[in-house]
Formats: sequence, structure tokens, C-alpha cells
Amino acid sequence: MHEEHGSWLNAIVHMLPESVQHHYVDIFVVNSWLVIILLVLLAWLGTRRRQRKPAGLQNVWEMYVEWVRSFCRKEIGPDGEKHVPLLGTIFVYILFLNLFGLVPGFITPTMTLNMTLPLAVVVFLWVQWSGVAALGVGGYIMHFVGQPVWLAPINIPVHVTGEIAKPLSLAIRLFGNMFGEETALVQMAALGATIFAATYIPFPVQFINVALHLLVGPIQAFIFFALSAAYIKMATTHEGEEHHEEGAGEHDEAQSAEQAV
Amino acid sequence: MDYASALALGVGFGLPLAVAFAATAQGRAAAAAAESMARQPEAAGDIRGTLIISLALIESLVIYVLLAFFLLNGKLPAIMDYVQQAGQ
Amino acid sequence: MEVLEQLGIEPGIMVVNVVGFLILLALLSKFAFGPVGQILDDRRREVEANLDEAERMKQMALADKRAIEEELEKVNARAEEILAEAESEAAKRRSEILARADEERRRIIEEGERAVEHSANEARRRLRAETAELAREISERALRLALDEQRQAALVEAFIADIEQLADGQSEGERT
Repeated sequence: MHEEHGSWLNAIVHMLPESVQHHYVDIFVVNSWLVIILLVLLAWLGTRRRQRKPAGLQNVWEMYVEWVRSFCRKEIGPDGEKHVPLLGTIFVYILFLNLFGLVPGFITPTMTLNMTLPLAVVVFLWVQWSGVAALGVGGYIMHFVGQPVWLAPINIPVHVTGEIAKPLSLAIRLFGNMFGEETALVQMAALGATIFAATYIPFPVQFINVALHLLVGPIQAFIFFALSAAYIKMATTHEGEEHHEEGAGEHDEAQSAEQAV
Repeated sequence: MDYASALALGVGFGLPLAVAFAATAQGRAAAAAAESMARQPEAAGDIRGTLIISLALIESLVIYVLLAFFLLNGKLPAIMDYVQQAGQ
Repeated sequence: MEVLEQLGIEPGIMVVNVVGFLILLALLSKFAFGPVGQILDDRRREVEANLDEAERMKQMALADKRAIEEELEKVNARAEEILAEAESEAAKRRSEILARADEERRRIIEEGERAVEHSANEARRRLRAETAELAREISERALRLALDEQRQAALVEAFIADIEQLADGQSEGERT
């Protein structure tokens, strides 16, 4: 059942005992560790010598943090800044994981549910925790009970199922996209090999899939990130309040549009 | 029609069916988004964000079907078994 | 469970991945989001302070400009005043000079007239004396020549008339 994936890191996995190899640390985990080390190194290099006038890596980090902050403020609300570390880590981590398979000799760890489900579970727990923190325990429970209180027997299962479905859909979406992408890539490469065997012309059929992978990886990372933000917003605001806020936001936008005109 | 044939048909046609409907839905969403972007170019950024998220939501349904496809695909008997069965 | 195995789900690997993610979250918060967020906050505060400062400077500059303009206006008014004063002074001086010159002219003319009249009178007086002298000499000569009385009287009459006429003509010529 345990197939081998082509990676330069296989040797590290093979050094481990059999039980650890199959149940705790597989080749995807080693690749994700490499991504973690790379990211931490980039962060350390970028903020090692902080300057008032940013240069090089510090610029990139500042732009990234500013982008995540403005996204959180826009999507979650004025107190969205406290979600910046989690959401920012999620985005950059998934982005690097998605694109890591394009580096020759490495594989994409997000093509397994073992990688995407933990991320989704962390987001799920964070969403529930921030719901409790924002609304209080009573408000959190009322969130599940729903608006007409006598409908609670129906509402509670529906809401609980919905809450569990959210991380599941996050995980399965990411996994499905990356797995499908990688499978198509492998099949195309195999097709290229077949063509080569028949005609002795090396033809890179998988080239277009690599380009598509470059597009899909960042988009999926962004979707995971944006949907996490949306779930946080849903959990931290009451439903009625949310509508009110949306109305206010539209009003503000209309005002600003008028000012712009 | 025995179990294996039904399974093969399900595996073969399930995913294309889902893809067809999802593609229709995505096309409609993208068309509406493009139209409203053309009408209000100043709101293009917001519309693009909403479009990407809704496309992802539609696409996730196809991904669920893809998952089911892989699960059912694993249940299909290997082709050599069939050849042997047919030979007997 | 069979489904889990088919999907390749291993709880142990998932736990390892959760731990890895939490480590990454902690390290990135420490190295990236904390310091960079602080930099951004500091910079925002600094920019706001700078903008306030610039606004204050602008207000000050505007106030200065207004004061300078007021001063300039005052100076202009003063200059105009001075100019007008000088002009009126000049006009006064001009008319004064003109009046003095006029008076001078009149005085000179009067003096000249007086001198002319004086010299005319003098001439007339001398002429008369000379005429009398001449008349006396002539009459002496005539007496010596023993002319008759009528002829003598007629001669003297005619002579005096001539003299009168001459003197008149002479004084008229002098006056013009």
C-alpha cells in the first residue's frame, strides 16, 4: 500500500525504523519540514537587521504582512488583526507546500490528506476558539441554537454538521486540487515517455501542466486562506449583526463612491 | 448488469457528469462577474475576490466527486482478474 | 476505516504535521509577524506624526505669508502718502516761485518806466534851458542886427512854436 514517491529525501525516510516510516514520518512530512525550515530561515533573514528604510527581504515581508492585515481588516472586521499570525502562516505555508513539488527532486506535501487535514483541523479549532472568545460561551451556544429557539432540535444538528463540514471541505478541496494536478502531471509525463519510446523525440507534454500548477497552487492557497477568514468572520459575528454590518459597509462604500465621483 | 459493470459505469460517467454541471455553473458565475466588472470597473477588486471564492466553492463539489471517483476506482477489480475470469 | 486506509490517512502523521504547523506558527510569529507588525505600526505612527507636523508648518507658513502681505500693504500706503505730500509741496513751491518772478518782473518794469520818465523830464528841462539860452542868444543877435519889432516878435513866435513842436515829437518818440 505504501508507494514510493520520487524525492531526494527518500534516504532520510529510509533511515528511520519501519514503524515510524509508515505511521509517523513519511516522505511528505520530511518535505513539509524542509518547507518549514526554509520559511523560518527566510523570516529570520528578513527581520534579522531591521531598518527604518526596508531593503530586500524585509520589504517582501512587510508587503506580505501589510497585505494580510488589510485583508483581515476588510474581511473579518476592525478586530481582525489578532488573526494575522495564524492566517498569514496558513497562506505562506500552503503556498510554499503547493509549489514545492515543482522544484526538481521534491514533492508536493499537500497532495495527501495527512497534510491538509491537520491544517484544516487547526483552522477549525481556531475558529471555534475565536467564536467563544468573541461571543462568550452563551453567545457561542446561541450561535448553534439559531434564531427561532423552538427550532433548536433541528438547528443544532444542522449547525454542528455545517461546522464540521467546513474544515472537511477545506482539506478535501486542497487535497483534491493538488492530488489531481499531480496525477495529471504524472500521467502527462508518462505520455511524454511513451512518445519518446515510440519516436525517440523528447517532447515535454507535461509542460502545460507545470504552468497550470504554477497558477493553481497560489489560487488554492489563497482560497484556503480567504475561506478561513470568512469562517472566522461567521463565527465571531451574530447572524443579525452580520447583516447589519453588511448594510453599513454598503452604505460606506456608496458614500466613498460618491466622494470619489 | 453485474456489480462490476455498474461500478465501472459509475466510475466512468460520474466525474464527467459532475464536471459538466460544475463547468456550466462556473461559466455562469464568471460571465456574471465579468458583466458586473464591465459595468462597475471601480468594484473590480471586490468582485474578483468574490468570484474566486465562489468558483472555489463550486469546484469543491467536483473535488468531492473526484474523491468518490478515487474511492470507487480502488474498488474496481484489476483487469487481470477479469481476463482470468473470462478465460475460465 | 477501510476508507481511511484507502485515502492514506495516518493519524500519527497528522499529529506530526499539526506539531510541525504549530512550530512554524510560533517561529513565524516570533520572527516575522511580531517584528514586522511592530515596524509597520511604528512607521504608521511616524508618518502620521510627520503629516501633522507638515500641516502645522503649513499653517505657520500661511500665517507668516498673511502677515507679510499686510506689512507690504501698509508700506505701499505709506509710500503713496509720501508721494502725494511731495507732489503737493512741489506744486506749492512752483506757484510761489512763479508769483515771485511775476513780482520781480513788475518791479523791474516799473523801475524802468520811472527811469525813462525821469530822463525824459531831465531832457525836457535841459532842452527848455537850452532853448531859452538859444532864444536869448538869437534875440541878442537879432537885436544886434537891429531888426524891427514886428519882425522880431514874429520870428520869436515862429521859433518857439517850432521848438514846442520838436520837443513834443521828441518826448513822443521816447515814450514809444
